[in-house]
Amino acid sequence: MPESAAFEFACSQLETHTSLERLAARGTVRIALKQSGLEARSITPEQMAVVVQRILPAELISRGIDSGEEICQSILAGLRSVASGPVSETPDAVFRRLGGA
Amino acid sequence: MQTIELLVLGSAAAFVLVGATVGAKLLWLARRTRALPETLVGASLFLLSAVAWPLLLIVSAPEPPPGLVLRIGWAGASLAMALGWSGVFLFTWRVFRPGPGWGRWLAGLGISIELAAGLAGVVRAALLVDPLELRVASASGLVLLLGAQAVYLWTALESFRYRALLRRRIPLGLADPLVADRFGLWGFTGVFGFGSIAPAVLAQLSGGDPNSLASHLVVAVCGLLSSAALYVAFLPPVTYIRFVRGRAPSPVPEAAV
Repeated sequence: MPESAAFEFACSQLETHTSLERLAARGTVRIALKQSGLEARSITPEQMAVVVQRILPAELISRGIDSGEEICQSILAGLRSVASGPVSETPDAVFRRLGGA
Repeated sequence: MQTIELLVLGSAAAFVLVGATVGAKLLWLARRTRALPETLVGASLFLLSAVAWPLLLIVSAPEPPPGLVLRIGWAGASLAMALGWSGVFLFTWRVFRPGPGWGRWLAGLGISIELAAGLAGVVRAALLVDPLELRVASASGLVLLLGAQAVYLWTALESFRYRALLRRRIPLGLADPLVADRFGLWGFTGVFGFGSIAPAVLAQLSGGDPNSLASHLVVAVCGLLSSAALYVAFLPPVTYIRFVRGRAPSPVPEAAV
């Protein structure tokens, strides 16, 4: 299954603005997603924005990237133009509906 | 009637009542939303609890019913179980592993096995010379139950995995604690469903007694816990909703994009 547009965007931005290579950039974002309980194939721009604000800065600092906050702000700004794209219904959307919550 | 038999009967009655109510609620929801997941899980629960279980109680009563009732009851129960558990296979694939991949293959295999075993049960009910033989364990019945155990296990694993994901999202404000809890309860429904069938499967595989005291106790306890989990998952009382949301960590505001 292909990864979501939000994931691809965040990875490409990280690759562009840091010294991280493609695999390292993708790995960094994946680790941030794992900590947040999100999946690369279904993450939306809104969810990615939360990850970029709350989780990614610390991940970048742990990799010796000093300008982590600025890079995250740049990714955040760019995420506004990322379309959600056709995403299949997530399990939590189904279970929210089933319980009427 | 002994205490343990009363417990088994009470457990079966609870499953019939809760399963039928939740199944009807989800089918009512499906009528409005026209969505596949609620149609599948609602129909499955209704078939298993409101059709299959009452028929099984009739055909396995201490005093056997007349031959024709036994044949029709057994055929109906076999078909309802096969369709019900096939629906759970389809639901688990559609919700947790949609699209191509191993989930589709597992669901396809499970549904094929369940439908074949269910049809075999119907054929047995029609062709056996002595209808009382339907009350004796059969190979097709064992296959049907093994398929059910497989889907309960799969459902439980997927549900617990997803609950773990949602629990990590809660502090970020990306998940509702009640929905995360619902995945856990649905997983426990699978675990206890697995447990309630286990004594019958073990007895058939080992040649043991499916009506032993220990077997009845396991069936009764698992049945009651399964019904309780199902009820709280899909018809949660207000006090339970407050409890789950109250003990969850406070979320931070979601980032604006």
